[in-house]
Amino acid sequence: MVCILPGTAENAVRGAAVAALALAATFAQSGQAAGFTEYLGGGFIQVREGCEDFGWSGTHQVMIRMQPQGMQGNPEDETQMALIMGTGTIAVRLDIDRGVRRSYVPTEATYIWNGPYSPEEPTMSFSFDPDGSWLLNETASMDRFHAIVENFNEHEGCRVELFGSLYRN
Amino acid sequence: MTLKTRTAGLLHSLQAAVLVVLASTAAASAEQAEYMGAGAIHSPYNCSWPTGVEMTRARYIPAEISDGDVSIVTLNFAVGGVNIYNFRGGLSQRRSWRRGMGRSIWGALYFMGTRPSARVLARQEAVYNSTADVGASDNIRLRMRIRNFNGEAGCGVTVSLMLRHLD
Repeated sequence: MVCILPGTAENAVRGAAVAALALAATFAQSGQAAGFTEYLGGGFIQVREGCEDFGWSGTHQVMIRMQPQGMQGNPEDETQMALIMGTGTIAVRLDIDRGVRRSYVPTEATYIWNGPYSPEEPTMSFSFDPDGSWLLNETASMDRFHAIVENFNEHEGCRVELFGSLYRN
Repeated sequence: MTLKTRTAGLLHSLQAAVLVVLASTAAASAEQAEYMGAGAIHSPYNCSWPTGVEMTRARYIPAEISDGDVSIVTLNFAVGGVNIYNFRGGLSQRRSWRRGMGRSIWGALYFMGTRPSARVLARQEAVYNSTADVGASDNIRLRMRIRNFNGEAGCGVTVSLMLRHLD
């Protein structure tokens, strides 16, 4: 069991609340307030197969931001999604115009590890689990989001699974 | 895509991959079985923070597969800061409130003098509605309402996590 440093209730409330207030002032503007619809959350990436040669294995925590197309204030033909991992970020634009049972290659993808890398023709693709949350349902929660990602990070033949729980901000 | 841009991209990616391997090794060597992932903190009530939806990384050690009889949920907020919640016993889905203890890190380590309590709204398979079999289920969703969140008396939030079993 972890050793717990003693403290007081005053400490806890004062310290946490003060730190939190500063954060709230800096970051609290929601998508709705800013005039668009966004979902925030996260989950994990589970590396499946074909990724060993590129150095990927195991489970990776990921925070996810999404702006689904067609929702209030968002473009009709473009869904934005950012996958914020511990050591880098992948951001894509997709046009999810053919329903849930199709695979989608981003119209634009940027991979940020050291510098930004934006291939002219991305090869990474997303297939969304029809049993999971569908991005274009206008519900407050998207809490069982699940997609198969092929050519993950532009690595040919590398397949991963992406799971997430997101809520409308 | 030109060969040049492709190669540059691969090089960048490979540099990142070295870090990834190191991170994975560290996780795999942890002695205690646990779940790891991330999710959203939302539906705040009576809180100075959060005021909207917050992203968080998370780790969860279920009492059912740990050495002690304590479940631990650690939230590592995207904006910085950490909350660690301990609850005696497993976190099976149940309407009643469980009283726990909490710590937070915001510049220093604080003990939550106003003790948190939690109601587990769902502990299910990641995509389906069936109850998760903790330890055996690889991918799970954990959704809980926490009162006195972040040590703030009267503040309630819902934490919705998507987690993967590590062993």
